[in-house]
Amino acid sequence: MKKITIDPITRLEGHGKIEIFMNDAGNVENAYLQIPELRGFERFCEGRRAEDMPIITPRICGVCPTAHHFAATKALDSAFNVEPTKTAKKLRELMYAGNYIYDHTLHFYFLGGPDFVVGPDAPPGERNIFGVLKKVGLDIGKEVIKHRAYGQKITEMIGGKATHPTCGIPGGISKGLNEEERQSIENMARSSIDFAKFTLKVFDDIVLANEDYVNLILNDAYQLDTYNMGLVDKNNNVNFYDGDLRVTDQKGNEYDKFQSGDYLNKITEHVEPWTYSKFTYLKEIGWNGFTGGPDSGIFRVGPLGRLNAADGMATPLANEEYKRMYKTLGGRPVNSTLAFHWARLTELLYAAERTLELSLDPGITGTDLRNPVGEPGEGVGVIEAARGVLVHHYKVNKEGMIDKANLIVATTNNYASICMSIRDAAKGLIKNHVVNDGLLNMVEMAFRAYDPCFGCSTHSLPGQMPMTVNIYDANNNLAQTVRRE
Amino acid sequence: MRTLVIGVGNLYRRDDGAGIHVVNHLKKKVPTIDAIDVALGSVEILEYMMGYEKVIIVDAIVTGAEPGSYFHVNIAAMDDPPLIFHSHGIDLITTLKLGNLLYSDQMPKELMVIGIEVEDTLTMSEECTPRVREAVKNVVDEIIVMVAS
Repeated sequence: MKKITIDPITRLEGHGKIEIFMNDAGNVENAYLQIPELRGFERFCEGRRAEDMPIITPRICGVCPTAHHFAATKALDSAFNVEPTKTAKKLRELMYAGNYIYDHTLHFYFLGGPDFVVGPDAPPGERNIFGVLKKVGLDIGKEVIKHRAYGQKITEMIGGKATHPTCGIPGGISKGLNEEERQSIENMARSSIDFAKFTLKVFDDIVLANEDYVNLILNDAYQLDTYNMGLVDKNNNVNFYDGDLRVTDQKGNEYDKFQSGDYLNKITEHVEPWTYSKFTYLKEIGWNGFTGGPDSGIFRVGPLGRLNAADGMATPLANEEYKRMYKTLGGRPVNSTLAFHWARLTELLYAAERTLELSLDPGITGTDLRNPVGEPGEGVGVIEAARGVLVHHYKVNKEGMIDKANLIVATTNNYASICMSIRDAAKGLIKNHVVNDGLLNMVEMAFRAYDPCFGCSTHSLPGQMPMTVNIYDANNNLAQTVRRE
Repeated sequence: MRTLVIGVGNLYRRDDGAGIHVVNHLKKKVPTIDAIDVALGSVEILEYMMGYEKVIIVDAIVTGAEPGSYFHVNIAAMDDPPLIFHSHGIDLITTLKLGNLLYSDQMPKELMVIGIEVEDTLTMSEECTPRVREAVKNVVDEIIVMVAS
């Protein structure tokens, strides 16, 4: 069996390694993603003050700090048996919508989007932000930087610090918003709506108007019929901050809907010997190997998982886009992994609209910022990280210290699906020993669509483009190394 | 010369937090210094550095050298600088090229990267290993001299 290793993967959030196993005939047998997992987190948290968790956890991974901040804050609300005040809840959601503006903008223009905007067959050196700017123009580059910064400014204004927010406390938020700040957020939100609409037009003009790209999205190699999961509001619309977890099946029907505190009864984890990371799946359906379909408990989260698990978007323009996406791609659910990009941009528009709605809410400058906390105990906090469902679960002792902490992060929830997407793309695109750069990129595209993060951080200095492919022979000996120029 | 010091890294991943430790020590020793901890920041580094004449970025790196060794590179002066990867997916050179393309008049003339070779980044700890801890102290002292001159 031949083994192909792609390591590291350009433009990904971390240092994952893809390994593709080929048989003697040179066809793909299987594919796996290796994730270097952080171990010892539980011990690191034990004995710390529970109220420090919203400060500590954003630094664990570093890629979704605001999501960890609020998952921790919500877990503390639950552990201290307190509801946040109305104003605090609105402020948290407003800040979180701002966070989505910068996260989704970054992904489309810098990380995942170049594959489509520049084109999957373009030389690797052009599939980056510069290739995107060459297509859309330098002035747009400034708009990208400006609106990404708007999202960050909103986060900073409410959160205290943009990179590592400090505002979340059990039962509330540490500071309110004054009228001047509110006005500033309103202005940034209006501009962000226009920017999101523009970005969707770029997607329209460059991707959807190109028949080859649409065919690529609908290509069998990129289809995966898993369950889908996401937070929804009372109308079953997508919600990033709060609500129930809804699971839909392969036909788009509701399979289950439950409160976050119930997650242990609904989701469990599978272990494989080749990776430290675990694979979550629906407990009631069970683990049935790396396969989709109704008998496999594997589910998808993140932008496409969220849209598939909901009935619509709660804001008008985003809801129109939601309907257009499903109409164009054949109805809900959409199983194409590459549709994650369209779903992400629909969410960017929703985030901008929701930011405006909340900035115009008369209660947003309220002064009821914190409710008194109750006795400490056990608590679960669930939030939609940009990459999908994120769960924090703490046991807090009588002294207010952490006895036990458990985190299920978005990339873990998507891990099984990511492995399957890589395998299926590889099967369709690498055949009879033919392994060229364009084909490998198609495999990477399946992977990038999820916007995964690995929480890994040390920086390497290779001095060359970061693409090395090792091909192993049937005896697992290194037969060839191919580097990208 | 108006100078900004930027620390990059993960504070809880032992030696990976070296750049952050440098910033924290600097702020204690010289409270007036412009120094920020951007953790695993990416494009925002560009926004922070605009308007400064000189920027010093301190980061944890792996090159295979002796742990605790460190080196300075003036990236702004290099025609073909080495690519340094950030875990957030956007490398420093891309960030700088983008800055030069979009905001050439606001970019720093001098950009120094100080890379500190790590020993352990897998253990969750706020403490660096002894050799890296020593390097952090030395880098702090060198930066103080650099900024003063």
